[in-house]
Amino acid sequence: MRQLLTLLTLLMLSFSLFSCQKEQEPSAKSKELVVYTSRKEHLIKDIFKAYEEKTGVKISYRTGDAGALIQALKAEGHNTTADLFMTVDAGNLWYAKSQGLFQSVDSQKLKGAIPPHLRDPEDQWFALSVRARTIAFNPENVKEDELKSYEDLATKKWKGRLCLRTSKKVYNQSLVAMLIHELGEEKAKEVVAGWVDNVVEIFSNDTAVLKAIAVGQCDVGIVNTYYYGRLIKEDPKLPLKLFWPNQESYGVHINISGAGILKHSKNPKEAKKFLEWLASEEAQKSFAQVNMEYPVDPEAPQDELVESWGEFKPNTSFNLSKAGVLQKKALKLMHEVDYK
Amino acid sequence: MKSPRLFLGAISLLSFGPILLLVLKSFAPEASDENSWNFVLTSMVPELIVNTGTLVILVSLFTSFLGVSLASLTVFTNLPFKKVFDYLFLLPITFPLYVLAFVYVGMFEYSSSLMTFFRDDWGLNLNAWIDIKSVWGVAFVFSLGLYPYVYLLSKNAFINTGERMIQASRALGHNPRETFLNVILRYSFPWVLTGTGLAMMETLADFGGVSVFNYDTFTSAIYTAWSGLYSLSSAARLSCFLLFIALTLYLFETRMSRRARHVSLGPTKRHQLLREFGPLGKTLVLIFALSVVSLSLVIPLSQLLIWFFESVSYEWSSSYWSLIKNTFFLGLIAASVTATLALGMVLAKRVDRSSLSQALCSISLLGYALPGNLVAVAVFLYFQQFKPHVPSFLSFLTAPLVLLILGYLIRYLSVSYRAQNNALKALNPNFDKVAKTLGVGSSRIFKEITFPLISPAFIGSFVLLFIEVIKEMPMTLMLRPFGMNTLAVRIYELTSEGEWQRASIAAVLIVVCGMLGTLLISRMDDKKHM
Repeated sequence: MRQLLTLLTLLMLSFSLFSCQKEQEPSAKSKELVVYTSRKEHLIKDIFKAYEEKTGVKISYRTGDAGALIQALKAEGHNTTADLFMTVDAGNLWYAKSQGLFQSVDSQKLKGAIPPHLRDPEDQWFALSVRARTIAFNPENVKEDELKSYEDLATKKWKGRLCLRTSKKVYNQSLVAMLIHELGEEKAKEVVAGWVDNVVEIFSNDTAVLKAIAVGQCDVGIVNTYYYGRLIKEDPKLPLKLFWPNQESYGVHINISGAGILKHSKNPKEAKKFLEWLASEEAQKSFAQVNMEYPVDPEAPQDELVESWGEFKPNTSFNLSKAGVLQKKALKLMHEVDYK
Repeated sequence: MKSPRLFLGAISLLSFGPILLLVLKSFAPEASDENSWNFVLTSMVPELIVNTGTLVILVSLFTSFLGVSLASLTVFTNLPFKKVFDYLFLLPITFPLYVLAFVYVGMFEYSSSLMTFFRDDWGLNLNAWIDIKSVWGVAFVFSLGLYPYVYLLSKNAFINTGERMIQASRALGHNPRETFLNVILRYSFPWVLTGTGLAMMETLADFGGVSVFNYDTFTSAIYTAWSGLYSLSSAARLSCFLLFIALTLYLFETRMSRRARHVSLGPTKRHQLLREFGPLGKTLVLIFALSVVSLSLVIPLSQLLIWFFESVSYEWSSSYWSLIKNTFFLGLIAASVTATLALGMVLAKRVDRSSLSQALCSISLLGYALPGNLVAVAVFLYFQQFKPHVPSFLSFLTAPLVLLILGYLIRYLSVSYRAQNNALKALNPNFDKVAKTLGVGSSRIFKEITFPLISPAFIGSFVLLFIEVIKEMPMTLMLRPFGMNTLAVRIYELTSEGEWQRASIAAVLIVVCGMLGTLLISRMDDKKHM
């Protein structure tokens, strides 16, 4: 009985704590925007706050897994309180569009700041930052001129020297989708099968791939640039370097983070202003820099470390808006060649 | 008597309704995505059955071995420092599986500082022998986190087996080993099975842990179908396999426990020890107990604490206080709702023993085998279906918090129901009838017999639920009310960006909260048996 009473008291206590918290929350103002986002809180919080301070428009956000948020938006339909959906990976944006979640936005400012290959052809979503998925190598074991392209990593000379991240990660599905677009399905399959043949170990995240290269478990790997940036910032002495592949052909695979205005937004005008601000130079600087990504606006200043990696030719012919369709194919292809 | 049946019906509507709706919807023509489903069915499912099956079998073998052997050591032998060990054996339950997974994978990866140390200083490449990402590695790590379920239930069963049964067995000339195998283990079997069943379901439903190992199970395929093939309907259809396994397991469990039902004369004050070890035996069991404790507790906790102190200076902020508060709030609310409803179910099923109520109970418990993200979608769809028909004065019923609590209910009702149901099994059902014919009212029976018997199990399951809820990640992530972040959500945000070290702070806090809860269970047990 005593324990039950203790439990009850604890319950009451937590209830009262919770109700206090509710009262402290600022009351909703007339100008408020709600963002559903799969970007992590610590990557967006300060930027949203800057906008609040500048304009007085309150930005609330709900973070979560992209797939789950899209289902939530679909289920909520026109009852949703959300105004914008922000996520990473072009495939997710494609999927949200295909489910009819977005509306087209006619904005000269957005068109001016964001190059055409980084936005939806029907202006339903817009990229806000760019990341490259490129080759990382250990300079103690690999000479830079040994490296050429994504396809080259499938040749015999890399047998037992390659590390990859799991095929379940959307970044790899998107990369293979690009290969399918550039090389055709048959050739892409050969390349991926060659990778699987050469692979030493498959990891659950890019950081683990980089660490494996640094200690010499393998010599090369394919990673997103910002993971490399984070690791190098922590320990600049790590024997790791980036290489830009396919500079003579179709260029380095890029992916994006981006956002669109929801069809059932109650406040599309404010949402548009916010989106335009996110693409403006003022916001672009911190939006990309906070995660060591590339700004969408080529004019916007870059993080110093990111700048030191040099310029490269990105792949622009693979239209990101097709990513989703090809990603399904990519996933099946990778499964067929037993890429885990 | 209609009301028990109505109550069970209402519960199953709440806890099975959402799942049923999701599955039905996934077979409806407008939602179906036959291309993706064909691919999933023909080229993924065969491998998944083998993978998932191997893992679940290994985990159930390991957990029952560890749980039963450790429980028998603490109950029936003169293991030194019994009290301390009893507490330590329970503690690993507070580790979320994904945390154990990232600690162990991080430690045994070729690039880890431990492996590098062995390679560079001793010339020893441990990775040549240990493959942490193999099915053995996954099963090993999962078993370390899941054996406490078996331990807890077996220990209670051993204590309740009743001194007289042991005495009778000894008097009939059985030696201690025969007594243990033929009498105690046989009569405790339903409890052991329940514990192993819980461990198996946790394994089936886990997503965070297996994805750290990059090991494919039904749950990870559900995720791939959903987020990679953009086919929620294929994901929902895949979940039918999990529902089927859960149902089979439950029916098997009920059948076994029906056969082995027994009437206990209540726990005895103090058990006669079945085996007194000599110095050598004592050393050996002590080594065994210590190695389990170091593998399941000391090693992961030390690694977490190392990361904790490395990252606390830049990761800690006052916002963690509100994370702790929210975590506690959700844990307490969800645990009290779930434990109370489970109690209601146990009592209702006792009054109404028809096969209908049996069936309603069993379908209400299936959610335990499903991954949290799928349950979350099911709950969400279910509510959207009814929202337009809810009158405005009742609209608080569709608040996000209510959805989240319902999600927890679906996932964890099983944990609480099984624990309480087992406790009540010790009471012969004819007892009620006898009492009634003697003119004793039902409320008095409840107050004087049923409640005292079931209350330890109620509180025990409350604490278990609390621990489960504070560890839960995918459902909390999707259904939580605006701005209501918890420690588990913080772990998700950091680990999905590969920031394992920074995530250690939230992980340590979850483990500490859980340990406080475990302390409560083991203190209660002590009081009971002193």
